[in-house]
Amino acid sequence: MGKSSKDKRDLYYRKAKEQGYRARSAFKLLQLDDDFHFLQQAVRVVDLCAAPGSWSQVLSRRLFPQSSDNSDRKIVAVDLQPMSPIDNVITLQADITHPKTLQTITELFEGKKADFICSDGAPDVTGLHDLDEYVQQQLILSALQLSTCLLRKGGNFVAKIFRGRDIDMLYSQLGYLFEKVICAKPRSSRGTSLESFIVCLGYNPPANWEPKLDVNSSVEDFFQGCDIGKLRLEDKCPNYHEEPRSIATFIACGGLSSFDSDATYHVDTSTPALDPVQSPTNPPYKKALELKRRGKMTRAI
Amino acid sequence: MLQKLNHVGPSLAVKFYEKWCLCSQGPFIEVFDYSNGSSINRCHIFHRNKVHGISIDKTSGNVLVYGSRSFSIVNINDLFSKSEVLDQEKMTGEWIMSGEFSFNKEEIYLLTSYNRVLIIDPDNFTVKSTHFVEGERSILYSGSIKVLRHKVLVNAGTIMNGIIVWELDSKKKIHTLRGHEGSIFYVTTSNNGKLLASCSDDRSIIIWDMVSGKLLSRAWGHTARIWNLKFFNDDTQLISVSEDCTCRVWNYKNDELTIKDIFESHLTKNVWGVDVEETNLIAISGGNDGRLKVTELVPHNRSCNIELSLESISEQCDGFIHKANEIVKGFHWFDFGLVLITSEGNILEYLQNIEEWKFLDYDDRFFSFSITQGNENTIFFMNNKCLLTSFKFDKFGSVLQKVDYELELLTKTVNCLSVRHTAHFYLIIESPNPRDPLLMLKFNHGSCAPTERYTFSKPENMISSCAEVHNNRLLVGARFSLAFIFDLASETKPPIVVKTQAADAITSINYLETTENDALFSMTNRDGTYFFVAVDFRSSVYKTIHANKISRGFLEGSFYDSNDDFFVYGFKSNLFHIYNESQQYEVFSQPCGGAHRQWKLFGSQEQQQVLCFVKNSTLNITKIPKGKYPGALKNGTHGREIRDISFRKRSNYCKENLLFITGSEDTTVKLSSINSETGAIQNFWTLKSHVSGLQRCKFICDNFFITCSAREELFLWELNDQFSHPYVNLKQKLIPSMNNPDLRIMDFDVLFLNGDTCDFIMATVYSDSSVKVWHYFNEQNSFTLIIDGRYETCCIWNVAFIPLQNCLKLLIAPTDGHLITWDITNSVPFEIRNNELFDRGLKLETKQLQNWSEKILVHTAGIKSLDVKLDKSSDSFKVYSGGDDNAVAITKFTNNDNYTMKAEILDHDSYAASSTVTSVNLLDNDTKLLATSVDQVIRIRDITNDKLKITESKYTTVADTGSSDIVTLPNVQKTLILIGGLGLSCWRDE
Ligand SMILES: C[S@@+](CC[C@H](N)C(=O)[O-])C[C@H]1O[C@@H](n2cnc3c(N)ncnc32)[C@H](O)[C@@H]1O
Repeated sequence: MGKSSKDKRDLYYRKAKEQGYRARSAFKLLQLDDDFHFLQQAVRVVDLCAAPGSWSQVLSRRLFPQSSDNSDRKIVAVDLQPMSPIDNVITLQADITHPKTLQTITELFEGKKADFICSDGAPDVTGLHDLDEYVQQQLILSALQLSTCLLRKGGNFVAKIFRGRDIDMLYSQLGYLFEKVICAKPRSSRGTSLESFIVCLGYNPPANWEPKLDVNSSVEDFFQGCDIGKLRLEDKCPNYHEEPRSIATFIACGGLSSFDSDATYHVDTSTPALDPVQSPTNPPYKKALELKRRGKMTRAI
Repeated sequence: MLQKLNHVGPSLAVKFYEKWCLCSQGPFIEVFDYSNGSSINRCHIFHRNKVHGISIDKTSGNVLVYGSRSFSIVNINDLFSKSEVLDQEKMTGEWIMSGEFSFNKEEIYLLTSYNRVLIIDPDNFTVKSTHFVEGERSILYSGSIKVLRHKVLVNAGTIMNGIIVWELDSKKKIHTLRGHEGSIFYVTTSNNGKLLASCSDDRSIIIWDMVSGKLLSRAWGHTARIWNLKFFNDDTQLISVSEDCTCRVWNYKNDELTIKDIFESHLTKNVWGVDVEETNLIAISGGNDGRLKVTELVPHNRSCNIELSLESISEQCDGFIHKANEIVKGFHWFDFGLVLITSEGNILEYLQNIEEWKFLDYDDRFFSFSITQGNENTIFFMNNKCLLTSFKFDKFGSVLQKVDYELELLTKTVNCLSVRHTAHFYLIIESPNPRDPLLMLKFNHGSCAPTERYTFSKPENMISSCAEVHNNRLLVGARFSLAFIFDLASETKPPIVVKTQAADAITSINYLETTENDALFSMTNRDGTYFFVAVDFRSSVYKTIHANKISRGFLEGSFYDSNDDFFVYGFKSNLFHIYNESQQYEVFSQPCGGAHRQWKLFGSQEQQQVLCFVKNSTLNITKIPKGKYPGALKNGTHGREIRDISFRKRSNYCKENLLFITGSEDTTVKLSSINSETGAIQNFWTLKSHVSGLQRCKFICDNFFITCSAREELFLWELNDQFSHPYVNLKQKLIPSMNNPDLRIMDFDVLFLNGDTCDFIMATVYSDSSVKVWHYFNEQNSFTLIIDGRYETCCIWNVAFIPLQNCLKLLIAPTDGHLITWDITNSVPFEIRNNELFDRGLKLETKQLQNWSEKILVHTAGIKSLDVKLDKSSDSFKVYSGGDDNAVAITKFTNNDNYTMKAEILDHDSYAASSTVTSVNLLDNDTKLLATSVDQVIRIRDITNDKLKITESKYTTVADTGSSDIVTLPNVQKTLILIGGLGLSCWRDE
């Protein structure tokens, strides 16, 4: 996140800096929790796709109040990107779609179950809408896969979604595993973006299904044994057919009194911009930028 | 019933096949004859999924088509003849990254996003086996399969672990190729199977040795992500397409990848597919803009190019000895070749047939200063001492005549311009002495002596730069963006002065056509603007009817081609380029060192254009190749999401065509026409006045439309359709109230005053919750603020005026999900009677917006779109709204007394869509409601009983579905519907 003039005017961005959060996303988790209170009882949690780490910061502040006995508490945060350390958070740099990653996380819990798993994951957006939506859903499925192995019965799961073309298929699949599935949009998430969050309350897997992690099976393989309405990889490719879809209840979170992230607020921008708490990480195209700066990328050849 | 008429949108896969090109467009494949651009057939392949890849088995004529989780094996003949092959669509559980036929064609291989290959029997679609590598099952961003005689290689591009190359049969990993940073976006094997090319988020291309797994070469150049790569020409060349909108050709020689050519091919950052036809060396590429761009890879600037210094010319040219500081001063191109003059006064000739230079003359009167002009067979040199010398040539370039002509009316000479028409040739000569007249000489073609002479008194501020002659008038373009129109019939009459809104000199004026009494001229300005100016010579009145700007660079001239596309040319950084402005692509570019140099473009676009310029004291002559192939098979639309659409509703444009505008995230507004029978779309103009993505655009009457965006930009445009192309001019802008780049005008509404006027009131709503009402006075072309206020702090998405009998209501819909109304009857300086607004001559002043009168919560999140049905005879109106909460609702407002209303929700469907409802439109005399949503479903509801009852829903392939507009075709009782998002689709409700 750079210090563009738009960020300077973004009230959530300013608030995040004032409160020491690494990203404005922190308020999305806080506003979701205001409505659903999933953090109240949570003791052991996993934060997937966590970098730069503002959700982990929220979790750390909530789960580790200074004066209490915290021995049973645990937060594991995972991301492709490196994360700078956060108090009481175990960080892991890994790809969550890789079965090995899920295994590593499970091991960190030493046989205990988690109460809450969240994923704010977003893939590298390519602009191919259908692929982007698919990869996004695969991130959710990976997170869901972990949830089925690690979440206690009655535990909760929250993940970022983009309400696109096939979102109703995902709602339908989640419906098989949780008591309640709600699509929620915190006021801190821009109305012009397709971003929302799927809030799945009360984990309740089908009785006859025993989830089993195997480093050689993909997410799709994993859910084969579980009847959640996904297409089975049978020995014959079926004809095109409509797959089950359902619509989830939509809730706007954060209350009307919170800031509207689509609005323009007239803040005093003459005060010096606060420095980002988290300095930007190394982008993969750093060298290309450097070559361009040195004038090595002109069109004349 | 909704019928689909046309679709323009992302094209992901392109493939040459014999003399055709197969191009995907959403779920369709369209077949084109690429030699002339004609469309042979369009075949619907998948129900919903987009076609991402095409693989052809030439022997059997089977085509494997895949996209998302769908695939199909289609006979090639069906693609040429059938309108759909939907029953052949098969599904898999995972996303298909790549698909190929096996070597013996008895199996097909599908590589999925989890690095697994399904081996499928194409006859019965059984999955014979699935192969993968132990432990490598994370998600892929790219992948390809290479089928060789003895083995099959799988290249898997991961997010974090580089490229994994594995062998299909043995399921053994051969290489893990590490060297890129970030996700791998494309990976492909050379045709001989020896090399691998890859690209990633790091913007470099790497060539790998398939045997050793070694990195052989790494090339940089693209300034953004690269999406596709392809080897061609015996694996010695590679083509790449990128987010930087260019397509590049690379040479691969001696283990090194080096850049060869760069072509600008697309508008959008998202260019997905590329293929090369190797015998004719043409490339096709497709992307999110829906354009299917044909690029001729033949090195155009090599074969007919001449690049010579005077020094090397003197070596080839008897009788010419080149002096140390001698430079080229001027030149003219003839059919036989070139004639040039140097700073010493040497005149040389190049004969193109025999490729020889000849010394013609030495004339020291042209030492150091000369200006050169010419026509078909005569060249004119003018010095600064009032001497004009001409040489007349025969068609082989032999001098027939040399004539000196003294410009005795002038005391000094500084500039000489020429105008060439079929009948006559004109020279316009300017003196630096303000007391000297402006002189025009008229010549018959082939004559060295003028037949007529005109003198005009020279306007004080005129520094001439270009000229045109039409209808007995001389038009002179000049510095400071001025043009002067002199009357040849009355030389003493002061000229009409044309002022255009630009900064620099006018660089060209061309007469185009005359209708009624208006003569139309196109003008270019060096600063990058171009204009169309209509002049009525009888009344000496002129009007700019179109003004627009190119994105970058300097403009020198323009022309229409035979397809009615408008072209501009000029300089962009160090290039000279010719640009198809109607379709928005470059057709020619030549590195020339940049603007402000000695250059000229000769000839006409129909015959042969020749570019001559001097760079580093070297003369360059480039014959501009006439493209052998159409520049594009399909022109496409905006490269990014279309945020709003509006039809010009009341009148047709050219028979069954209708004009419409689209406003996009890409900051431009396009004016296009659509054929209401076929859905065929033609682009006219891409208006570039906005600096940020568009919020709304709307025709407010037949000849006005309004557009708005961030930075408080709101523009009023005037449309002119009296000529053979429609033209639009930015008529007025709202003045921003502050300097806040994020302050967006979200929506506006307009109510015209009663009577035959173009005066109206306009409400604007803002992202900071401001609500304003303006009065527009057409005669003075001015906006006056009449109501100013604010709702709360949230962003307002919609606004509407509702003239309710003798009251005027203002309705807004913000992000808080409420509908809010004000009674503004007494706040506007007009009378409202029987739902109409009357001007009673009251004083215009700014009043504060009072407190709102009604407020009702309708949606749990922001209201994205609304439509209003006003029952003129009663005292109520209904609001149909769609929201970010996936809901659609009907709310009714009824007058209690003159100032307050009762608001009630008549129906509310919270599960109206599975995603944001982005637009709603009343249809069919307000009996039906059309709603579009981001879940890509268009739903039509019956609303006759104030209940929302679904009657029809259709899937649209337009992603990020965000806008719609409808128009009723009066003579056929049908409704034409346009849906916009990432692409544009056209439907008819019949
Ligand atoms: C919107 S950010 C998360 C912000 C975070 N919740 C916070 O509050 O700071 C999305 C993250 O998803 C991560 N991500 C995307 N794909 C992933 C994958 N396959 N495995 C792990 N992380 C992934 C990205 O690296 C990125 O940091």
